[in-house]
Amino acid sequence: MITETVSSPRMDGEYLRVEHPSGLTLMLCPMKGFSGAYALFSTRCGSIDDSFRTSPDQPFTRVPEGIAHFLEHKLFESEEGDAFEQYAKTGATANAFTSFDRTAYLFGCTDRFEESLEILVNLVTHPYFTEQTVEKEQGIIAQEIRMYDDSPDWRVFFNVLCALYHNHPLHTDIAGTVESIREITADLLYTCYRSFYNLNNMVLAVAGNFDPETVVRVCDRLLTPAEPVIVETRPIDEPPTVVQPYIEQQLEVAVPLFEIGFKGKPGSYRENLLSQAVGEIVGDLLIGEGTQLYRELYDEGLINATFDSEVLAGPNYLATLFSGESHEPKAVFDRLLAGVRRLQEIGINLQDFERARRAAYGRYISLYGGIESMAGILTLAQFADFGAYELLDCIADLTVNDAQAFLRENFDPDCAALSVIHGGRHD
Amino acid sequence: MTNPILRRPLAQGVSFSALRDPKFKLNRLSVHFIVPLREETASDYAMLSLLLRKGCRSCPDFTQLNRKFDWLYGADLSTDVLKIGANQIVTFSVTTIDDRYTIGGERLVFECAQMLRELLFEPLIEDGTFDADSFEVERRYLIDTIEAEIKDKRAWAVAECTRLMGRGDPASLRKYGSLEGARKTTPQSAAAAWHTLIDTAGVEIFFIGSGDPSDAERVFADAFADRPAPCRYLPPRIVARAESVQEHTEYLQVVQSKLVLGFRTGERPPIGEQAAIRLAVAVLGGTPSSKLFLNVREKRSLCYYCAARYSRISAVMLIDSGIEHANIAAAREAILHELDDLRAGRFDDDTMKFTVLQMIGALKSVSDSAGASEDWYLNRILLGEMSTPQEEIEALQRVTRDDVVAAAQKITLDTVYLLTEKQGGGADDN
Repeated sequence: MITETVSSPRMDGEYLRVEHPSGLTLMLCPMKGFSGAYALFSTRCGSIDDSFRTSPDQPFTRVPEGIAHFLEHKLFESEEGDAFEQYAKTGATANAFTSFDRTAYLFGCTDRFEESLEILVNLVTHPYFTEQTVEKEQGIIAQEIRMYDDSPDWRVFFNVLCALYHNHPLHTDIAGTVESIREITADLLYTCYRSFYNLNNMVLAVAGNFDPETVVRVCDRLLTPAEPVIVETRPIDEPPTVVQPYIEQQLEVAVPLFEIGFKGKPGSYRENLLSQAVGEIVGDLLIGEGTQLYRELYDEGLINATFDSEVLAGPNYLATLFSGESHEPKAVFDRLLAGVRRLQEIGINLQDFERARRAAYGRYISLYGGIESMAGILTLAQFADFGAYELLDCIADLTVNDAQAFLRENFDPDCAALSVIHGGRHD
Repeated sequence: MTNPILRRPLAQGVSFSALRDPKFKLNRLSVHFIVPLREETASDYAMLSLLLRKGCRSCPDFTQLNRKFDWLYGADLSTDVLKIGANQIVTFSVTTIDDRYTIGGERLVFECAQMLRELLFEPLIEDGTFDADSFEVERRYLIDTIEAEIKDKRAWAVAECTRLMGRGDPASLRKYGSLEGARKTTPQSAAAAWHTLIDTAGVEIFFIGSGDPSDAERVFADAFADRPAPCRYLPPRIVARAESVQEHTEYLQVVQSKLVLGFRTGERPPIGEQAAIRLAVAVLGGTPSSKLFLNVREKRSLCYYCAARYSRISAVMLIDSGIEHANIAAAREAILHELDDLRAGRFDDDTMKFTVLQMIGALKSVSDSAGASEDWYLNRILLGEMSTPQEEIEALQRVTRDDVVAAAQKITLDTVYLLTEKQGGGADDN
């Protein structure tokens, strides 16, 4: 068993990276003083993994949209019953989620850690579906999809991805559609499971109040070594252009919601994630609260305190998004595009860069301070092949030239789109 | 082991509570102004949460102010308006990294406390008024915020049910005030509200983090010196029993209906004796192993979500659920059936034991988060009974099955609020 200790003098912290003989990677970060422990068992299987193979000789298997999320729901059920019922006996709080690029099963607890960990490991490694349970789940997930269809925040986000991406499965809803999930069968779920839920494709991250030896002991006891596997997903032929610069939908909102997306040029998974901080800094320099542009739009009543930005980074995508409420979203879009062109022309001021970098440094430090965010960083670090503390070191080492390069390459005004949710009667 | 919070008086009506714990990487300093919630003043106080963060005499420019916070390692200035019982709370917080993690050895606790003091005590008021243009931008935002409350349908349905149950009690007012109230505020009325806030509001200051709170304590002891008499925190009116059920249906364009049932639970017990009703509500619908979750949601697939919660301050239980339009009647019946089972003691001992375990887990976790700790102690202070999560754990462990049944038998249905779509689809014009 290979064990590596990764420490950071800057953060006064350390974690263990263990390659367990079963093939599973363990990322373990005991944190002093915390009452709770948080465990996150993840696989590299997200909503974008709609077509895959495990051998270069095979054709790609195409699966219905929403299958990763469906699988997540089903794994929460075993022959012994619902996972919630099992966790209830240990007092743990459990959940699971599916994102674009991964599926994670998790629990948080303050007592009886080992028992809860056993439940987690067992539920993820023992799939149990029948045609009857699949059919029942189709009804439950259809309701969940309908609930999200009602959510303006969710729709404004997916609509901008629809406007940005031609072929990338990023634009399909994580839960799929009511129609697509009807095509899901127990057989398809097993196919998907056997490919993605190989232990070599997974990571177990734990942070907080626990003993690393307990985790290793549970894994020794419950895990059977898996043959190494390489899951290859279909190559995505995504042109750099956007599908349409504007998309809108009507839902019940008092103030129209908007989301502006800039389609970036993705590199490797590692590069995309490590460039997230520089993307955030550039977003801050363009239209953060300390900029003239933010001030103008704010004073003119075009944006309000809900305005926010984020960088969406994953295995094969990179985009910068700006969202908020506005009675005139198109004016915000036009002014932001003008701001991008201006900054590209005059270049980033060194002092402004230092200020935004220092703010980013503070924000990232807070991520290492909570057990949930720490487990999240550890998981991504393993999947995207970087050191968990490397994120902070990257910010410390960034130069204004890195920011200039990001601004040049990932903020093409011709590769941007605006998504708007209008209220019914208000505008 | 958690350090106890230390709360001491700082000035008339002003207390300073500090909780130091080396596990935190951040320090969070919050000032809560507590005033009685009233229709005629709620919007002015809500406006202050928006106006005071825009600048102060030493830094009148909003952009420069934001840049200052950036240089303080992205110190996060957040303002909020809360409602706890019949009290409106206007909160200002600054959170930043602990001095240990600074690159240049800056004294961030001191600098952040100074900035916060200046924002609160030296606002941009001239000749008894805020700047009219800046005021108008913020008032528009407040109006938008009040109108946007309807965006989150689940929260909207819960708020409407709570309002209907209040029947005119101040505790049933909205925390930002009404639309009419927001439209009536002026730069002058907000400036006057600021004077009242500084002079008469109850003030609870919290410092939670790994750093030394003494700089922050000194800054605010000076700022609040020579203060007039304090105000008392107001308890809400408690209605122990529902005499009849009021039904209210609202029609909007929704894909999924929201059904909220509001119940009375008897007189509000002192905090130390609330464990029985809290446990009863949790067994019914407070955890993923609860009766509502397992039976109504999982077994019968009648709701996408269905959960019960108890308000310690108003002694009200709410059950909120998201339902397909066709299932409204069946879901309501199923929910009430589960409550009947609880009243009749039809739940097994394991369910109760496991629920206690989960509640203990949640209570132990409070100390892991600065925000949760602050929320915990602020609520205790407003309830007038200081207790720690540990004391609450001990109280829970003493609750018997008979206590749970007795508490459940005091629960009476008061209000049924339904948000749905008119048959045939489409929203109502109202």
